[in-house]
Amino acid sequence: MRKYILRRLAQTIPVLFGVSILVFAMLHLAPGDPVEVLLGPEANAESIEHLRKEMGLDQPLVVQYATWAGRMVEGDFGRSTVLNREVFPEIMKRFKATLILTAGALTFAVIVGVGIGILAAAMRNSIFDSVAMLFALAGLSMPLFFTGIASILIFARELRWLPSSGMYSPVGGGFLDLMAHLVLPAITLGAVSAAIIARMTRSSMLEVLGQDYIRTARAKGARERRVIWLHALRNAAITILTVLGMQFGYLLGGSVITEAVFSWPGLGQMMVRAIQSRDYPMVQGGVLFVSAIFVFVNLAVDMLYAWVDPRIRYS
Amino acid sequence: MTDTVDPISVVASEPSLLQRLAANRLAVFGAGLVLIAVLMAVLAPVLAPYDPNAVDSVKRLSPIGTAGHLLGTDELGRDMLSRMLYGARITLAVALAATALAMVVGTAMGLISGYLLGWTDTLIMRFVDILMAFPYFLLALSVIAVLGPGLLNGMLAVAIVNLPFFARIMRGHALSLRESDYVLASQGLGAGHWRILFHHILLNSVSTLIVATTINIGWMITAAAALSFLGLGVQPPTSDWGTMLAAGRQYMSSAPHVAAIPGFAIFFTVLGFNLLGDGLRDALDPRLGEA
Amino acid sequence: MSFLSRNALLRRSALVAALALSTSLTAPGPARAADSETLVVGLVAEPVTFDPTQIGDLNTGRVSRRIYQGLTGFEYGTYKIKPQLAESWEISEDGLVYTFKLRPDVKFHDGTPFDAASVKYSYDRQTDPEHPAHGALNYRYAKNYLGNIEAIEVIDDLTVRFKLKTPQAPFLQYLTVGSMGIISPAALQKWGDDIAQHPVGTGPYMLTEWEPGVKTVLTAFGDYYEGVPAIKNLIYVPIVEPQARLSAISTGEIGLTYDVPVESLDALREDPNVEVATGLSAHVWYVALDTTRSDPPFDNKLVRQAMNYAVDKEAIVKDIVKGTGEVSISPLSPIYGDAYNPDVQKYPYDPEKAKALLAEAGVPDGFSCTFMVPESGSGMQSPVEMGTFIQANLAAVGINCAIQTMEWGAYLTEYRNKPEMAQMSWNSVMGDPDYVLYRLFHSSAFPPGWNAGSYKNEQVDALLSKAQVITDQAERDKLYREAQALIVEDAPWIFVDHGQQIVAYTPALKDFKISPNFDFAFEYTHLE
Repeated sequence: MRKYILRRLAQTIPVLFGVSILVFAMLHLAPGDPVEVLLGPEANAESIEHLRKEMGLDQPLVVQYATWAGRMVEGDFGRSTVLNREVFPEIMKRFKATLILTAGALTFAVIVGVGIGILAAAMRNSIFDSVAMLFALAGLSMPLFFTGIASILIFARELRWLPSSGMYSPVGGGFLDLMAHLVLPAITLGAVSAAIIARMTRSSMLEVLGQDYIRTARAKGARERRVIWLHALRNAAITILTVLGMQFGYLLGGSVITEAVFSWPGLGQMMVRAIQSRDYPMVQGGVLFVSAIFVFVNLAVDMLYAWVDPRIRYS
Repeated sequence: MTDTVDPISVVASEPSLLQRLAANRLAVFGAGLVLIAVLMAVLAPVLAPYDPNAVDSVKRLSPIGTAGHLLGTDELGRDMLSRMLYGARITLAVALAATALAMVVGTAMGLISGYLLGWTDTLIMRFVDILMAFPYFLLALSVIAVLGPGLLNGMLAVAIVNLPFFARIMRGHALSLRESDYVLASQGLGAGHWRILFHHILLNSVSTLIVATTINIGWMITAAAALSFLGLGVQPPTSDWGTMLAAGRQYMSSAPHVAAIPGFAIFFTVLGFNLLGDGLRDALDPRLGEA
Repeated sequence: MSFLSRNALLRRSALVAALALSTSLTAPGPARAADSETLVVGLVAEPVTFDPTQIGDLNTGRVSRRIYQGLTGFEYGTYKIKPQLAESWEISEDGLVYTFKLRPDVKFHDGTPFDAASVKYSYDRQTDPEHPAHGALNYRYAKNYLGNIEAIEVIDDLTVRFKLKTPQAPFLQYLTVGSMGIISPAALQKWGDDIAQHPVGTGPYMLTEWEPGVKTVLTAFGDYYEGVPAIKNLIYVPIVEPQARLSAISTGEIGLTYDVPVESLDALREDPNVEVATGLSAHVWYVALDTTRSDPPFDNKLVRQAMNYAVDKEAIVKDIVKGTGEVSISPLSPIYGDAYNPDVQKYPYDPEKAKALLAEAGVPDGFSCTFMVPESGSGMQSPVEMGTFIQANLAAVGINCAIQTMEWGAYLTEYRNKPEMAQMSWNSVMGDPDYVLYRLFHSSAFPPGWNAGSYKNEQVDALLSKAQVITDQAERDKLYREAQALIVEDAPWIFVDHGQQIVAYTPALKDFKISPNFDFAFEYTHLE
């Protein structure tokens, strides 16, 4: 096991290295120049040239990459060209908001998804099963930003149950305030995951329910509900865990749109702005950070498999 | 990211496919929705009452049921019905082309990777890992930042994002099939790598591919719509449903039909592909998990 | 992980979600920020930095102008220069020496007194690389606004003298721009480049809390020399999505916002909880044509004039921007007063005339071209809709343009790279025609400068250069009127419209006026 962990950890290095090259190459190949965005309409050609030089943008790309990568290895993410602040603390601040949103969405997705999935499996082929699965598919079929904006217009503007956007009220704040602001974006973001989890839970439950030892348990007279809850769910847990790992990555990525719609002060929104203003250090650092999180979460999920299901062996 | 390999069984019993599919009411419903979308796209020039790009600023944002404009008009006074019909063409074309691209490249990568193994496998799979680790939305955004927005580039962006999906499924397939008796047998008979890859492994993976592709088309449509939301989709005046929806969101309180019509069109079409994909999976290959 | 603990985990998260749901349902509604001392402002994007020399966007400027002030300012709601930190000034005969008498009662937010040395300190910081507060920053505005200054002399505590290299007519206007705000030298010494997070100026408000992405809180400055503002707290929150901004203003979550979707204006005007103000600004929205190109034949004046006749500007103003603009007949809007020339050649919507001109120019069947359109952008109104409309208008007379949209970052680069045909809009923060005409039409501003169409007319060049160095305002206005007549006749642009600023706010906010320089001067307002 330890050997496996070490090997997997070692494998993350080339992946993150690849991500760093990819993000660097893409940004620098893209038309648009941080200097022009930075200096804006007031700039003249001379000061543009000057600033390009000062930022090292006149150097060959390989040199620029090496400089950046060298600093990254030392843990120096550099300074944002637009915000004129250290990149890393900024990423952490925004990541916290994204994490809260992702956690909210995942909580919603797990409760609704696992709940519906189990019920649908227990009542397989019933009307509930069909309707639930149709709804789950419907949840997969809606563009996020449309449902997000529609929910603002309905729940904030018309019904006035919930705040329109943001993470905290301008005045006040606190846990309950955060929760009230979290409801709409978390449900918007989590809906797709809830649908996927519901479908996965249902099918893996059905699969487990069809297996011999469940039949044996039933034959031995254990009550149906107990059978389903104990045996089946335990065995379905591994599938659910897999989906959770994948959904975490999906949610981190999907939060870009949700954050834009709800003005959630997260990493996704900041990254879109950073790409548009060609804030190289911010985009590069941010992408690398999110990729690292993704890689390590997946690693952790794989480790958890072994815990949940001792039958899985790693070579 | 995992090293576990799904033991995917080889599919047999083809004859009852259509019957099984027909027995699945939801799948039939889904196929119907897809068929409607396809017919809209194909028959757009016949059915559309107006030129979809003809502007008329006086008639802008007419509601549904306006005389002469069955589904009303949009923010530039263009006929919504005509735009929806023509929009079906672009929407489906983008989704199909992006899926095809992701499928062909992803499949090739997955097959080669899972069949040859060794350093080729390592190289390809690490590349796939990189693509997966890269936050997908930012990946699409970066691709478009490099290439500029537009129909082709948007398509390319969503295709690249979906490469890993196909590559990983097909690698799993190749891994399990390369040890199968008939592959070993034809190797024994001296068949070359390409012949084995294409004749044996690929042909045996067709059902998986069909299911994966059908499901993927639905994703592509919503992904393309999301790109439009960030203003990176099709170039005006041409519009696909995603661009129509993104533009229409500005009028959601004053003229909701401008967003609702493309919104529902996307919803039902994606739902159709999803239902059909589900049905196909149940009928063809019940063990193929969701990615 | 055992199964039981997993189950417990599920139960606990269920509890959290239930709690979240219950608070949302039982809460009386979104928190209202309506006490008479606090105003919540919905910005379209969050402020980026509070170092006035580093601000590049209107949003941040709108907040930062509460904190920092210059020697001169504008009278509330106008482009009329008034004394701000300077009490009075004298200009030498040759226009080269400006001597400012400073207000004696001004303090910085950190309690240190404002004096002539602090003026010199703030400006030298930008121009002198050896200056102790220069730091590692790039001072993007220094060349434009301070570049013509030969020396700044401190005569006594309250007198400062500027010596210019050449006469510069809009110098007093220059002193109003954001980057010319005076920063406390003590704070600069303390914070260095991090002044961006710890701003200290002389303005009516000071920064008390800044949570990036969430809110920016300004509090009234107790020692403000014009009297403590009535509104004690200004809270700025970023709301990116227009529909969410709209929702927030009608529910009262915010007290003021701007750039609301024009489509919602009618509904907002009917809403008793919302007041809408629109005001003409020094904005101009145009399509630049590359006047050096023969394919498409934009080098032909007749073709360019035909394109002006072909576009239905009235319809754009009336229907697309819903009356929140005025048809543009010249690069200057009427707000420029005597410098604005209403008697220029007019291009009313006349497709027949356009076709006739095209025929006369030898292209009766039209031609094709590429038309660059940004997806969005500061001051661009509804760029894609307007672009699509213009494209359809031109197609009707045989000119077939393929639209190419780009996001704003890439667009700005491409725009400066000799585009064939491209949209742009121009705002003036200081209200001097020089800032518009010289920068956009003088041949010294060829790409990558802002004369994107490489327009060159020697007469225009001469007029604009002359108007830059004389200080007699009436004479300058006359030169600018002449230049406009020539430019409009040459039609290097398709002239489209002058957009209005649109601000929606709570009726409780009194005395609010739209400022042409895009400022929201809340120190002159109060809440009821």
